[in-house]
Amino acid sequence: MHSRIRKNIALMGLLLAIALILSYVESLVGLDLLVPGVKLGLSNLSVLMTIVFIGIPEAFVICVLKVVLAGSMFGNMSMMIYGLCGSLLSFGVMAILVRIGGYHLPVISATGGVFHNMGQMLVALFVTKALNTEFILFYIPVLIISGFIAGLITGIIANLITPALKKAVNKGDSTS
Amino acid sequence: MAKYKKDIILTALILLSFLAFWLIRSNGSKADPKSVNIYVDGVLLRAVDLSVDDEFRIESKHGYNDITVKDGKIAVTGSDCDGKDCVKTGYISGNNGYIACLPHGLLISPKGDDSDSKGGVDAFAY
Repeated sequence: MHSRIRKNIALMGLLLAIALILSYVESLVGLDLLVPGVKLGLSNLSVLMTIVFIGIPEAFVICVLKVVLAGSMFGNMSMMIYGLCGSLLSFGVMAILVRIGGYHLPVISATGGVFHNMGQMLVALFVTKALNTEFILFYIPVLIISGFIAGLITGIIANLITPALKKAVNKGDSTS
Repeated sequence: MAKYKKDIILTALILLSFLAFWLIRSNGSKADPKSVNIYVDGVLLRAVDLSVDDEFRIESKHGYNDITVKDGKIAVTGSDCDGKDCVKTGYISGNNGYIACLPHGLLISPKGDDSDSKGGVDAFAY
């Protein structure tokens, strides 16, 4: 039991570190998808892996720490607020889908991507007075499709690395 | 196939909502391609005639945006904002989209928006 907890904490630390590196690389390279500012969201890989290998509450911790740490290390306050809202909404929806069951990672991740973008649009509505109705109607379809594609790509990558990670995690099981 | 039934339904729902929003959005073709409005924090700052080449700076309490008007198109060519998404958007004309600089509350928007945009901002933001 204790070794299981220790192992989960070690794995979470590793996944959080990976998430931070992926966020950092993305902020440097600036791989914009379809519209400026829409990123692939590779750091969501860590959240997905935590959901698969450990559990939903632990994944929530990773999700929040990822945004707060990435925001304070190589972002700024407004980035953190946007990121937090997007990530929390996205995480909530993904957690619900996982709880319901029967959904596969790429689709879970793609739906999360859509809601991530919607969450950021909501923050934009509240913190700036800049947006008008036409602008929002103009961008909602773009945000839906770019979030879907970005999430799908991340989810497919997650599907590909799951077997390898499973092997690594189980290997530890047999030796301990 | 039954294994993926839920996935397919959810994907279809998302794509349908994308399609619905895509169809109801104004395609901007009614707007005048040669003029745009520049708003800061939802307040109309100036109307720009795109047929006259021009360069100017918009300064607000948030920072500055350098605007360039060239060959009937407009772009934000410099800014002290964080993401520089406004600069990355590049050139637009008066009927093909928007340039937004959210950190600065700046929005460059087709002129066709004039009639109801103000009410829209208030209705959405407050």
